[in-house]
Amino acid sequence: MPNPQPKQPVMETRLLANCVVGLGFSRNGFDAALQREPHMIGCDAGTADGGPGYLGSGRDSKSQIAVRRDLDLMIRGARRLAVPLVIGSCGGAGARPQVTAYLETVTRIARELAWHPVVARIDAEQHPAALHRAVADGAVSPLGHQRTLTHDDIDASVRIVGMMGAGPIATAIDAGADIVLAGRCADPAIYAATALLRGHDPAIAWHAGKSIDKGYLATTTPEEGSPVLARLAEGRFTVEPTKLGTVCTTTSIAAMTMYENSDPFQIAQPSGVLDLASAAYHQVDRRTVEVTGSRWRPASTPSVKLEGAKLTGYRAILIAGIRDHRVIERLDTFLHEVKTLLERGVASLGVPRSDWSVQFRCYGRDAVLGPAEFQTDYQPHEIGLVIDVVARTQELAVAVAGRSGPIGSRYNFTGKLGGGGNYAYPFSPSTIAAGPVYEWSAWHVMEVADESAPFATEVIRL
Amino acid sequence: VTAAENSPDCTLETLASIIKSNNAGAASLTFDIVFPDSHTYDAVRSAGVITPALIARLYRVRAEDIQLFHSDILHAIKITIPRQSPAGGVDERDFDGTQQYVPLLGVKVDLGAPVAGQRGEGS
Repeated sequence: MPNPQPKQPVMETRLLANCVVGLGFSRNGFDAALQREPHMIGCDAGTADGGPGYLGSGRDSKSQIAVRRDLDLMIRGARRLAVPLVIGSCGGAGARPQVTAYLETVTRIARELAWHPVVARIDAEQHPAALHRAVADGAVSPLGHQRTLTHDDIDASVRIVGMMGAGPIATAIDAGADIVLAGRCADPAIYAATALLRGHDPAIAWHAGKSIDKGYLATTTPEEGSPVLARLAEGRFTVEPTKLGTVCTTTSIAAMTMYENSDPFQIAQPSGVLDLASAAYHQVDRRTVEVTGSRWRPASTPSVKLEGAKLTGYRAILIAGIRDHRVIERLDTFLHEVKTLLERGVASLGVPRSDWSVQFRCYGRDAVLGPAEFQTDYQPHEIGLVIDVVARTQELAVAVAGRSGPIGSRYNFTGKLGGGGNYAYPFSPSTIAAGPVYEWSAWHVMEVADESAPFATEVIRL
Repeated sequence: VTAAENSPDCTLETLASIIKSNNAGAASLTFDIVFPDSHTYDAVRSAGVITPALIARLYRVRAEDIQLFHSDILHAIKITIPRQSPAGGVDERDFDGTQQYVPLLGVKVDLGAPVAGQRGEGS
């Protein structure tokens, strides 16, 4: 980790941020941003919000064509200004295959430009042996309401990534990287790394990073896709959007500290806690906000958040509309009886009951809110039934979901079906194989002696 | 004249400028309720309706597991609750947690009432 103490009187540092690789941004806004001569260009690529599927499968959460467009523009911009481009949480989950896919895209773009940049790829995947040691040493604790991480959880995981802080990124930039492709990464670290290298107070570096790490979401008109620029000085920073006509307000900037955080005033980062209890936001002009009063409490021991995914099974679904009010009137009874019939049907195939599970998702009733649904005093006229089967193999999931269709549709629940059906199918085939299903196997935090140690960096000249 | 002064008995839906929900990590769900001005924000706070007890009842979680924050700068109330099951499980209904705010919309806020701690829980 480079020296985090201010080296000399602090110069202004300009950090340029886009929202998420593959979600696009305004090209005009980006060109205008380059004229302000930022010291780095950054963009996050990840989120855990899409669930564990992208971590488990290693597939990119965004389309290749969209990712390439955004990377192409940012690479050209960074080259023109000769400043580093930092991409965090490549591919969505920051898994090794996702970083590799980004490196391939970057390589193709560089080749087209006949450019030979220095690329640092920072691996966030954690070696199982190191995790087993950390668990044995009692260095891993649950985040939120999860249970303790066990050795079995580690063995059951397809992969576990660690969330890096600014340390590994700053080291890569300091080593001369033109492009940093980081695996799983704390979003503000993308920006804090450059700010810390240039001697800024960690409170300013991290709060500025946190304010811009969602790019255009810091503006009042996200649909305009404006990049945002932070200017850091001693004890304060400003944020402004760069596309003509877009604005940041005190509310839109302060709201960035609420976004996806459980506590809006104490925001934990790998190397400390950003304390915003005394932060003040001031509208400098119509489009620019100044922030002061940020504080930083360094962690006594740095920590790395762990995210792991395990394969739970394979899914097949069947979508059926129910319109008969007599079935909807007694839907729970109907579904209970259908489930019993399905269990009997699948047992006749010689399949053990523990090899599959089924859920009846009743859209139109309580499929969205579940037990929190409060509108329970009326009967919907139509139900969108999603029969959701998860089984040990894809073939078995398709077989069970396929069986569930005729069993439920032909069940003479009203006594007046006359060989007709209860289900209206919108699709043919009605059973859809939905692929592997992953669950979080780790959502924990691991104490480490050195925040950079769990992340191996490879420096390549293309 | 603010919305708060106009209607003596209104809902969060009419009083707030933003009501949203999101995952805060895999284990928590967080709600942001932002009011258009400090007057409305103060009035809703004084009404004492948005309490852990209300959230516990709406979302079937234990009151002691609920975190409640007030941001005077943002005129906002932020509530964080544990998820029923970790995000992205086999039984997941809302991966991002983005539609879970809906039970908050209809919460009644009686702005005519005197300040009285934890009275009225809305409906």
